[in-house]
Amino acid sequence: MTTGVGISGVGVALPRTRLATREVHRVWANLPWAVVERAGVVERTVCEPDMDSLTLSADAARRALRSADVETVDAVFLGTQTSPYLSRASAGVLVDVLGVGPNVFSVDVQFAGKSGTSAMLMASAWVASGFGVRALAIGSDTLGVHAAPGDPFEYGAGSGAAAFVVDRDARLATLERVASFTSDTPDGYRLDGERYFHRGGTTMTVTDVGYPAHARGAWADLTRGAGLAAGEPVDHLVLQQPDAAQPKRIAAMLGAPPSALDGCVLSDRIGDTGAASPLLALARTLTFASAGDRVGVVSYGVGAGSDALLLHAVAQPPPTGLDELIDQGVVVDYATAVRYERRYQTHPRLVSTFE
Amino acid sequence: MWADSEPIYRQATASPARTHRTRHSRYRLVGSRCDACDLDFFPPRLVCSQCRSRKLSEAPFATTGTVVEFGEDHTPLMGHEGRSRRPFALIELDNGPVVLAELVDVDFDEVHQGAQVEAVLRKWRRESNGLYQYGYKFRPRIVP
Repeated sequence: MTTGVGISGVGVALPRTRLATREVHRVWANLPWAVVERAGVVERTVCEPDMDSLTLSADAARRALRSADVETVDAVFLGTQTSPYLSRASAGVLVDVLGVGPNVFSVDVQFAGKSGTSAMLMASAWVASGFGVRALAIGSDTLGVHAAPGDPFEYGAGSGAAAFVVDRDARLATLERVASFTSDTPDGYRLDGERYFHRGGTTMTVTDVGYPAHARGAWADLTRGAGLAAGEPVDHLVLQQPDAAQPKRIAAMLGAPPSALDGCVLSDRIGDTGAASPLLALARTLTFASAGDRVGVVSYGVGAGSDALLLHAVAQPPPTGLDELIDQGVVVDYATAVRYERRYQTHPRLVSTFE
Repeated sequence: MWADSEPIYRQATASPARTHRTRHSRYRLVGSRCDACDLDFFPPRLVCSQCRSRKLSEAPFATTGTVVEFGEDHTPLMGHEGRSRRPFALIELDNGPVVLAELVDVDFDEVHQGAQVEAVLRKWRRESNGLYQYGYKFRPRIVP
């Protein structure tokens, strides 16, 4: 008997370097410290000079294939809003990196912070439709590289990746139902050719038209369709984590008990990992969820849209190494982080072998 | 995302064709094996250096290996200018030849002979034609 469409392998990747929010505040002091502290992020990951969202996703994807004990996939969906190329698919490079090609469907998926869950929905639809047996869904971002120096966004903007092997006979968790909520809400954007993200500012956040409204809309649609009574809790709730405070607020808004978030919030130690954020949290949740547990996932991408997923845990995956990755951070100072992320202005540099 | 602060290497490839031709060896450590005398080569060769045979087949080598010898480089070689000190190692792959590669995610003090390492994809540099060149580096082996 097959279990149904869902997750059969998990892989994660994080840079080793960390930057403390205290250090950013020491340099810029552009917000009252109490405001920074309230967001709950202590450290964020820093993208290293030889990393980008493609190398992070390659790392996560390799681990996911190993976790699922498979060598081939029929499709690769790479969700990222910080691809190194604008018009060349990073997913195409990934196919050769993973050695799964060339007869593979591959595509970059972009919807800001929900790119990762979007990739997962597309991968699930791909295998459910019978177009292929197995697909790879990846969420990967390097937000820190695209946070303007001095922008409050810089406090939390991290980097990371998570990948899932999705197939029709899920070994770890089955996908029961999905719902989405989308609207034209410009609370964050980056135009063609622009290096740094614009944020919509306080008028977009205090009015709750962004993350709260979209999460609520997607979740209401999901629970209606899944026949869950209002307020009937899921066992674990995995949320988009732009900081460490918003998940708690959103969980309360969705009627979930605070215990549903236990172990599911990682942003206090790694920051906002964008498209990877809900997937990393889901990877963590699967490692302790018991068979039969209901896991709710709600992502949010600025711009704006939310995906909501309801999964049933089947079994726990082999060790993902996520906790070790979180624990092994090496803290650097602000100047080093800026240099690693190349967030400084300079002449175009044509250099020879030795600089 | 392109930025002026990303150095561009003047002497690097002029053509994307080389990036295309070398991709399998850079990404997955694909070398060549002589059909006649079973000798392994990495990077791949077209002619066997021992028996001069031109019949060589593609051989994907293991992406895991053991540190044979290691050292530290303090000069900012191309593609590595972000770090002041870089550990390097000769790594004997589990089923093939020895490769020279940079070690990442590890401090020099922690490197030792016999350390188990695994290949990981990293950005080597940005080429003069604008393409990013990705390739293998090695880090301490992580179980999952």
